[in-house]
Amino acid sequence: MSRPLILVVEDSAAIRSLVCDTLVQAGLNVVEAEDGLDALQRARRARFDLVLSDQNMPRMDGLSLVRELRRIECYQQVPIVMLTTEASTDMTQAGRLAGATGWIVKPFEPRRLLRVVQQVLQSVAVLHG
Amino acid sequence: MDDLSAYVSAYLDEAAEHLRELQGLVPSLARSDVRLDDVHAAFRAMHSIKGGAAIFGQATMADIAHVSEHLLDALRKGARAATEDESDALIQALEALEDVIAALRRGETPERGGPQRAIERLAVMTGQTAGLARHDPADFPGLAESALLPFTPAAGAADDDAGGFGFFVPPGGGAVAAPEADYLQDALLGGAEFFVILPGELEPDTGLPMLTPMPDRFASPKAASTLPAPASAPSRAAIEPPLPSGPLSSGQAPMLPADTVRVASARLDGLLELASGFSQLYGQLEDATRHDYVLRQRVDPVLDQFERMTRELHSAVMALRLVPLNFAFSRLTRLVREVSAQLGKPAQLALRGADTEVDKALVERLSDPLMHLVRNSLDHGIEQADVRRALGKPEHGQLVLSAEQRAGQVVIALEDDGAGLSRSRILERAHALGIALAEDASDEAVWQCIFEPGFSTTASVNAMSGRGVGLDVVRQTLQGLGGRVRVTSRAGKGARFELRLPLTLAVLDGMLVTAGGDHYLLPVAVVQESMDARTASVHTVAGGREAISLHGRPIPVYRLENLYASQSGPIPPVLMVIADEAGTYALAVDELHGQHSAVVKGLEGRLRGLPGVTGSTVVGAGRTALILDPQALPGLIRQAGAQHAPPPAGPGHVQPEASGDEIPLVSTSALVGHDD
Repeated sequence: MSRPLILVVEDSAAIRSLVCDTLVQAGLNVVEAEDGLDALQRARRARFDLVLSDQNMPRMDGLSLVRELRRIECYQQVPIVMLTTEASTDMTQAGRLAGATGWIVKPFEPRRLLRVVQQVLQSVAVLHG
Repeated sequence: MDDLSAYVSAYLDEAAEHLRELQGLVPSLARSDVRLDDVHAAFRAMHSIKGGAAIFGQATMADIAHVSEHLLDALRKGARAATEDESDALIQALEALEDVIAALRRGETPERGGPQRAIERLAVMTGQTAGLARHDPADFPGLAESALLPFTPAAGAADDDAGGFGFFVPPGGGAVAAPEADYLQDALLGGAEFFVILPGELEPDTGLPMLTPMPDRFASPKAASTLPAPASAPSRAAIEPPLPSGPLSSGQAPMLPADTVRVASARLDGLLELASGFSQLYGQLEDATRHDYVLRQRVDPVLDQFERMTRELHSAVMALRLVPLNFAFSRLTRLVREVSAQLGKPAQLALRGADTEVDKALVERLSDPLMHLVRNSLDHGIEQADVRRALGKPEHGQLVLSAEQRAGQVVIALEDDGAGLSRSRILERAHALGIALAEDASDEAVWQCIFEPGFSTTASVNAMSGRGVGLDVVRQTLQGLGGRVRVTSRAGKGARFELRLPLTLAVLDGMLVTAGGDHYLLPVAVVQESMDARTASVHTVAGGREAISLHGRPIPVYRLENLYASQSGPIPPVLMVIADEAGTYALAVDELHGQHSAVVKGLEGRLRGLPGVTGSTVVGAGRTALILDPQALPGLIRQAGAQHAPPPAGPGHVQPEASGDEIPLVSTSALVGHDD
């Protein structure tokens, strides 16, 4: 997989920039979306290797996005990682049931975020070739 | 990525936006007809402020937002109903947030007291221990039932992965906990269905910026103040230069930016200047082709279009600077509650048109005058409850604050249903202060006196609206903003204060004049008329001062060229009649060039602190014009005249008229009651 393409879904421009810059500087390609609906539209136009999404956003929240994406055939295996301040067990379990791959609780440290993203991408590469 | 400051300032902009939304929503939370949607919106906005604050290391903001969010959460779930106490505490928290954001934007360390008080109040109210949620594996019973291995750095993986909990759900259920580092990939490869990673502890200096986790500062409110401020200096990056984000491989989506762009207001000013440059170019083109009729026939349609597009560009750029007035209004609800409680006068404030949009810079500077007027109405306007009952008025004093846009201006009015202004007491006080005012002066002239320095109709200076500051400060602020304030009153029914302001501070409509070879701009709002000095019959009165008679009233004349150097000689040919709340006078200038829409710039270098000048602007061919403060001019010109010997009437001087008019040149502020 050359240059994985990541969709970053986040309504806060400040956080979105931080996440995107972190990933871009590590050689990853990034597309930004500012809420779930925006992300869904972009996901239908391109095939992303990983989706990194906030939960609380206007128009469409993160878990709804996960459910929508999982209904699209080519996104059934794509890792979707939530990046959110929500940390309750109820929420994480809901995330798991919706089909999220993982859940990272904010605040995050950019370096750790990058490592998680890389490890998820690598395991996908190993599992699916 | 070696510096977080770019993100922090973007975050502060976002937080300020959420704050404005909250300021619009929170005052209505305690109302019986509050919409659940609004409660949810308030929660989401506060949640966003908190989330970003945590990521960008803004501990104080995160703490305020955390306790506020907790209360809003209870409200949205219906676990508690909002009374005025709740909405009050939230407004206090919003004010604390506003102050912190303002301080951070100025590069200062935020004051601690306000946030601390707001946090403690909300913490007590919601019964929280006021500590931020610390993530503990034990909080995740569903995930951590089995094989939970609490991670400690000593027992953990590589040193640089200290901290952070990962939970993995293996196939078939159950959960394992582990530091996320090396386990993540293994777990995923091993078929883990899901992982959860919780924030870890502060990491040592690394190449990437270090984000400060929120310290547990308010676990014990008493100890909090002794804790040091969190280290927030990001470490310098020692990472490789950023890779160019090259073209994407084929078939992939183009790198689309998100749909919102935030820009610094300085960039908008730059755009505005460009737009003004276009209007000047239009003027020059118009001018240059004026006498070539053949050419004009061909280019006129193009010129028309050029002019129209320039105007559109101008207003499009202006619109970018506008924000709703909510920002200035929301504090007032709480102020009314506080002050009416202190004075023992029950009162209510209704807001209308809080979504009216005005220049952001204006909104920020309007906050103080509005607070002052509200205080004044409560203190002097609204009667005591028993008096109101006796008068058959509702026991609660009613204040209505409204705003609307009218013809390029914003009109803000504060009305009360109190006693109204007392003509006799104002006249009495005016005489005591030596303000020249006839007994039969118009009501408007009498009311205007309350904006004079040192004016107060109450015998004892009240600690509430007093504070040693009078309404003169309100008028001064308004005039500084290019606006005006006037008051109307009906005895026994109440008073109405009306503020009129330009929609923006960035552009000033002015009359361009020259005097002594320099260009000056006079705000159009104060220019009543212009006249020819030769026909105006200027006469000299005592002390070599000059005056004209305008509509039967004597008006002092000041020579603009005397602002910085005393000149004598023939009176300059053009008289600009300047009228504002403080009085009417004529300003003698060499030439009037007409109206000019100026992009206002601050004063720089040697111009800074120049008396009588509020700003500068560029007027064609790179020439600078000084924007004059009409109110300050008479005093300054008199001063300049006093320093140099008073000029004797020169040979070419217009001879005084034979009329024995005694011109009351006490001060322009004495000349109240101009016609307009």
